[in-house]
Amino acid sequence: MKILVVEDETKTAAYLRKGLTENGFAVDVAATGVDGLHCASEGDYQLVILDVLLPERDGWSVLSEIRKQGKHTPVLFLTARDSVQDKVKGLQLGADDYLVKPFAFSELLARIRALLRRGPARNVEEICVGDLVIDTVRHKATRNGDALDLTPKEFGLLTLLARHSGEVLSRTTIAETIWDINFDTDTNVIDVHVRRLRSKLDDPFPRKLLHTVRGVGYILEERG
Amino acid sequence: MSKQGIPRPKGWTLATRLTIWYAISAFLLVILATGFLYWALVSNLNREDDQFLSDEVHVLRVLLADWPTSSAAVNREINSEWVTRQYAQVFARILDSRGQALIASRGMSTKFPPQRFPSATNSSTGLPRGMDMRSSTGERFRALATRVSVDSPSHREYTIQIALNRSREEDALSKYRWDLGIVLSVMLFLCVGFGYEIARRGISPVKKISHIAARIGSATLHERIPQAGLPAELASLAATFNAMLDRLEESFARLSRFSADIAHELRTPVTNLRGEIEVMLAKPRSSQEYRQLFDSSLEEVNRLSRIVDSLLFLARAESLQVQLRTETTDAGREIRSLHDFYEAACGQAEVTLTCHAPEGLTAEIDRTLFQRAVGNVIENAMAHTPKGGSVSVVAAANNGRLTVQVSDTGCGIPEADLARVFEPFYRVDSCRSTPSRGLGLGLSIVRSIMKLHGGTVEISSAVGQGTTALLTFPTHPLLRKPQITNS
Repeated sequence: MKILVVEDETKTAAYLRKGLTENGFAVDVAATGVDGLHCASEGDYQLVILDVLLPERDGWSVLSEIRKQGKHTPVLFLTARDSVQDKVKGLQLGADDYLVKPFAFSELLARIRALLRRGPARNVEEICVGDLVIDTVRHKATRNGDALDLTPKEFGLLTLLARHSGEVLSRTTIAETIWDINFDTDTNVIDVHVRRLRSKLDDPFPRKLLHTVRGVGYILEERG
Repeated sequence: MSKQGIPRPKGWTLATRLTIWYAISAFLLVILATGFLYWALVSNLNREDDQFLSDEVHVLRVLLADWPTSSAAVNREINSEWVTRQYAQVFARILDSRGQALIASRGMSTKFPPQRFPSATNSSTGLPRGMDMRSSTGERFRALATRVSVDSPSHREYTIQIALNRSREEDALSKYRWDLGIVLSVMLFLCVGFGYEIARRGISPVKKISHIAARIGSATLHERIPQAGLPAELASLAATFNAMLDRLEESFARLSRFSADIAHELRTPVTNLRGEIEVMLAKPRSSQEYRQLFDSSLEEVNRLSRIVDSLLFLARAESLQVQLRTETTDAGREIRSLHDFYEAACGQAEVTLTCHAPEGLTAEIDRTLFQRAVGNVIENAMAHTPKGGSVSVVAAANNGRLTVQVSDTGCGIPEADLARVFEPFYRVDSCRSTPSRGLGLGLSIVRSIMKLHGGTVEISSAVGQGTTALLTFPTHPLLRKPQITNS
C-alpha cells in the first residue's frame, strides 16, 4: 500500500512517515504543492494525504488538478483550518475525508484504513480474537466456550473492538459509534464503560484481550 | 491615540460653516436695512423737489394768465429770481401750444435743448412727477414738463419745462453713499468676527469632548467625559459616549482577564511537559521509563489540544462564526443516549442518574451541539454531587420552547460564585472527595451554544441542597432571534 504525504511542516511529515511506515504502508513525502502534484500525477498511490496550506501551490488547487487529470486516488485533507466552509470546499473539490490539526494519530490511521477498505465493512457473522468468539447474529459472545453476560451496549462495544482487532480505537470513535455521542468529553465516561466490559471479558480469565493505550484509546488483541 | 492618527476630515469645519452663515445672514440684514433707509431718503428728496417744482409751475401759471402783458414779470421771475439763486437754481422755458418757445431762462437752451426735455404731462393729475436728467453741461437736474391751460380771458395752452439744479443734493447723497460703504465694510468685518466668536463658543464643548475622546486609550479606559456644564444636546451625546466607554471597559477587562486565564491554564500542562522531559533526558533511562514519559506527555498534550479546541469553539461562537447544522432532532432520543452514556460513570460515582423525556419531543436544533450542551451540564452536575446523591434530567416542550432541566442534589453553588460560573476557567470548588480536573470551559460552551440557538441557560442553586440548570431552546429557527453568520 503506497501513500503520498504532501506536507511542508518537516516534523509533521517525519512522524507521519514513521508512523505510517510502522503500520505497514509505503510512504513518499512531498514538501510543496508543485512536488506533490507531480508525484500524485506520475506515481501510483492508493492514497494521498494533503495539507491545505502549502508553499507554491495550495492543497485545494493540487486536488482539483489531480481530479482534472481523471485520477480518483482517495485524498485525505489535513489542515489547521476547520471552518465548515473549508470542509465543504474540500469535499466539493473531491476530497474523500478531512482531518483537522491537531489530530490523534490513531484517528488518522482509522480514517486511512476506512478509506482504503473501499466499500462497506465486512459484516461477518462470527468474529474470533484468541479464544473470544462473537456471534453477531445471535448477539452472543463466549470465551473459551463460556458465555459472557453482556448488556446490549457492552456487546456493541465488544463487537466494535473486535471488528477493529489490532487497531487502537480512540474514545471519540467509541463514543460516536456506540452511543452516537459526537463531542469530546473531558470525563472518564468511556473508561468506566470499558472497565465494566473488562470485568466481564477479562477478569475471569488469565489471558487479557482488552488493553489500554494510554493517552490514545483501547485495543482488543491477543498478546503473547 | 495620537492626534496624527485621526485623518483630518475633508471639507469645511463646523466653525467655519457657522461663521459663514452667521456673517452672511447678519450682513444681508444690515444691507437690507441701510438699502431701505437710502431708498426712503432718495424718494423723500425727490418728492420735495417735485413739490418745489410744482409750486414754481403754479407761480408761472398764475403769471401766464396775464400773458403777454405779464412777460416782464415772468422774465423777472425766471431770470432774476430763480437762476441767480445760490441753492435752488431753477431753469424754465415756456412754450405755446404750437411748441414755440415764448420765453426761457438764460442758459436754458444750452443746458436743455427743447427736444431733449421729457415730454409734458397734464398738470391735473395730482403731484406731477419729475425726472432725473443731466444737462448738456453735465449737471444733475430734476426736470418737469407740464401742460397748463388758461381759460380767461380766452382758452390758451402752454407747456412749461422747468428744471431744478440738484448738484448739491447729489453731492450730499454721494457723500452719504460713501459713508454707507464705510459703515457696511466695517459691519462685514464685525459680522464675520462676531459670527466666528459665536460659532467658537458654541463648538467649544464639542471640541472638549473630542479632545477627551482622543486621549482615551486602552490604558485610560476609565476616563469619562464630564457632563456638567454641557448644553442638553451635548450632555446626552456625552452620556451615550460614556455608556459606550462603560461597555468597552467591561469587555476589555473581560478579554484581558480571559487572556490571562488562558495563559495560566496553558502554563500548567506546558510546565508538566517541560519538566518531565527535562528530568528524563538528564540521565539515560530504561525503555520502560521512556514509555511512561511518553504516556504522561501524551496525556498533557491531549489536554492542551482539548483546551485549544474548546477555546476556538468559544471564540467562533462569540463572533457568531459557528454555523448551526439544524435538523429535526428527537430530543427524547438524544437524552436517552446521554443517559446510557453517563449512566456507567454515575454508577461508579454512586450517583443516581434519571431521565424523563416524553416521546415525540422534537425540535429544529443542531443535534451535536444539543448533545454537547446537555452533556456538559450533566457532567457538571455529576462532578458536584457527592456519593448517594442523584442527578435528574427532565425534558419538556412548552410554548414553542424545548426545556431541559438538569437538577442535582449536590453541594450547591454559593451566591457569590453563581454570577461567574459561565466565565471561562471559573471553577467552583467541588465537594466530591475526588474532584475531577475539568477544563473549566464546560458552562461557557453551554452558554455559547444556547446563544447560537437563540436560547437561554439559567442556573439556580441552594448551598447544601443542590443546583438546577435550565436550558431553553426555541423549537423552531423562526422563533430564534436573527443572528449573523459569516460565510
